[in-house]
Amino acid sequence: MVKYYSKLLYRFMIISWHKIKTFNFEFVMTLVHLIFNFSFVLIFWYTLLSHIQSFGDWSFPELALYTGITFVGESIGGIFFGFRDLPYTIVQGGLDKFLVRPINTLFAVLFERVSIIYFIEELIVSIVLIVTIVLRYDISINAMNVLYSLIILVWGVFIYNCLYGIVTFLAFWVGQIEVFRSLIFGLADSKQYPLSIFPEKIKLVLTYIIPVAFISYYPAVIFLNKDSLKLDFVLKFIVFSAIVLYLFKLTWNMGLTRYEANGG
Amino acid sequence: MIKVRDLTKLYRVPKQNYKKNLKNWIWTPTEEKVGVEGINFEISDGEIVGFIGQNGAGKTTTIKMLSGILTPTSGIVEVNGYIPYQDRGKYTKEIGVLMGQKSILFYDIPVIESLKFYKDVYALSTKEFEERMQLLSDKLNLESLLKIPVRKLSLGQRMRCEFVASLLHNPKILFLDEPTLGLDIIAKQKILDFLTFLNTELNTTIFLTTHDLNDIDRLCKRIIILDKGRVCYDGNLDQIESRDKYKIIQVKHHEDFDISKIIPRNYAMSLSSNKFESLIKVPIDKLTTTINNLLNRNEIFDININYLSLEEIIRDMYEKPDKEEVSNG
Amino acid sequence: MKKYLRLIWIELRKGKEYSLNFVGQLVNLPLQLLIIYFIWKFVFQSKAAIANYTFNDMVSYYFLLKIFESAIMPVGITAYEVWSDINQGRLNLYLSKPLYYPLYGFFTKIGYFIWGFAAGFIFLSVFGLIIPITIKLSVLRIVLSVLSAFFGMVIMYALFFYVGSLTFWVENILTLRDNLWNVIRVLSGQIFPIALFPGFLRVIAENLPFQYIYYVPVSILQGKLSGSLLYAELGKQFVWVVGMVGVMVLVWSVGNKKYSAQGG
Repeated sequence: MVKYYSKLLYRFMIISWHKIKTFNFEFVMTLVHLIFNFSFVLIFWYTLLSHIQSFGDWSFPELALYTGITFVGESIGGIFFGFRDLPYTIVQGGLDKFLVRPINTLFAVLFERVSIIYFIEELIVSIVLIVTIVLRYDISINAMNVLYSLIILVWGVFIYNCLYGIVTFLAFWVGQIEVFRSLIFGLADSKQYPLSIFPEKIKLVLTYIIPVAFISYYPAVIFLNKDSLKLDFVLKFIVFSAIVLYLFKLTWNMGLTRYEANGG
Repeated sequence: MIKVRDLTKLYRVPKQNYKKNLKNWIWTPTEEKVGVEGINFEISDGEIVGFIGQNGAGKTTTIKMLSGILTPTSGIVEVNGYIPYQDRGKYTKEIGVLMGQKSILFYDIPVIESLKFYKDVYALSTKEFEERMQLLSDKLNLESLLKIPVRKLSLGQRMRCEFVASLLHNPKILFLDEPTLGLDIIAKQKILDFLTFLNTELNTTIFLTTHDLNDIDRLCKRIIILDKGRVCYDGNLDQIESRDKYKIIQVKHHEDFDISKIIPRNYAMSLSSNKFESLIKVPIDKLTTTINNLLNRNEIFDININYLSLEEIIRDMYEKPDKEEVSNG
Repeated sequence: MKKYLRLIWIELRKGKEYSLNFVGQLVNLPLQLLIIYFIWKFVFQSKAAIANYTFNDMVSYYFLLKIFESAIMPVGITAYEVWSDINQGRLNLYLSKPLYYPLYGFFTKIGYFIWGFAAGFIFLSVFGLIIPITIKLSVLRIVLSVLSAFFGMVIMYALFFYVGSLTFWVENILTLRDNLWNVIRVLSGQIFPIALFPGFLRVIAENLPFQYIYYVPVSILQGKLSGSLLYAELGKQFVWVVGMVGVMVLVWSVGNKKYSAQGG
């Protein structure tokens, strides 16, 4: 089973590579595009911190590192890129071709269009950025914290995207869901700013409703040893994750049943 | 072996007319629409069956239930001992499905990469894959197309590639929904020859829907005709009764000659008529009389006698004299 | 001239298209503005003004920016239009008519400009009641600002038209187009008011035409530019416009000669 799906994953990577290779300069373009994306955020913090001493208790190197971690999370989230166009696929009856083949439909839908190469590039560039900053500014880190940070980040990205998936799956019933979805997940724009600047109520929303804080803030805080993990917090998040995963499985299965009943 | 018993599929669709109030505004009321209703048929191994009907008659619904995409509302559907919508994991390895309008190839990349993808979807070994490719690309002249991105292929070339991608795993049963839609005559002939090959040489069971009745005429021995969600004919093509009872006479004549004046209304029927040409349908026992009649007229300079085409037979079945509507089906 | 005015009229009647575009932007706007609001509220806790911008100035800057974006951004499609017209041979069609292609393209964009501002000011007056910021407007400033924004649109059109015209010489320009978007983003004031930029970035931004797309028009409306400075900036902007349109005409005629020499 594992062998089967890793073979397919490899195929999807080859396909993604061919797509990029087809058009000249595309590979370079994606790289330039990435570097631009990073520099926007860095210019933002650099400029801001040339006017104020620090952003709360965040210095420029820390904020740069924060940015790097956010982008690592974004590149891992690339695995779920397929959710973006899923409503359209459903409306067009695009699941048919997977339903008549011996392949997991969710797996196929997720990877059908994703540009895996782009997200690998993004991952590499963000790791380079993080390493550079740590070395350049002599930031002290310890291995355990880095590990914890990574675990939280990966888990956070996973749960966040499951929630995104749940909202996306509503498309099985209502068709075009994109506007509603972007209304809710527009909150994700806040991920490039430390959670501590927001009022308490918004913090709660960003932690427990749309867990944006788990794909940037908490991993960064742990990484930089600005705060430590509290047990009750971890437990709460595990409960929260369990609920999200359950709902994810439920909505997907119900959605697929609905698709099988009405043909998209 | 395909077995279908009392198969019914009802869809929930938004109601056309309903009272406008708040509750209905949030939850639009729905009503049931019949996809297919109580259809029965059996297909044995190695048959080619043509599935015919007008738009909305339920062809695609049936093919989707047979291939496991749709769950029936009631009734039994069984293929090779599997229940398609339940045993999907194993079942899908034994069937090939091709929907004419929906491509399964990746658009921007060379064809061969898509084929390799489906090789891994069906978990074929490299040896199996290569043997299969040898056979298929031989039959469909694929060799030169493999390195070309799908977006640069013509429709006919693309369809050949779609066929290969759907047949890599050597399926015993093939479901085809409009496989020749939009193809030119040559491309179509290639596909039809290939299907004949699959059926006669490899004993593949083929179930296909098409709007083009000429395809069916060339390919199938047996047809199933669907009308408004019900089977209205199931049997051999050459056994359709009216096929031997009537002939079509094609008459070429002078400008604006009114043929209806000279043919006896009680048995002959005028099918179409324009400036220089008219078609009439007559029972076989009245053929000689009618032709003698026609030969005596100076205004007529050519006569051809033809079989009743499948299209005309089916039009009779629907009892709709309007030609345009039938040609859509 | 009459035929070009007719074009504006045709474009203006595509009301449905505009309103869809508008609704699409409207949905994302409140959350974007909310996040901007909290960031700056936090930043201004420690300072009353940054580079002469008070909290109120800053939030209203972004607010107005969003309105200007909705009016001017659609011009960016130009590069793609020129590229596909040349590549797919549709250009022959235009050349066979008594139309000047660069002017034709420009006039089809004016509809968005007019609708964008109309909708924007309605939006402004409605949300002005809800969010606690004040924007003092005067008729003169509105007129001058819209004038400046119109020139800004011409500059943006010229930039994307250059990129599009490159299709006469190179095959794929979409890479370059994406990078132009990114350059505009930094240097036109979409990330920050240019006054906030640290030394070197500010010198670059103030000596290039990009600032006239968003930063200058918004500043005029905000009253950041007034008196002789305002007219000086408008004058400089006008010089840029004349120069850039001149280059556009030149590029087009040279490219056109190459195109007709090769028979399309």
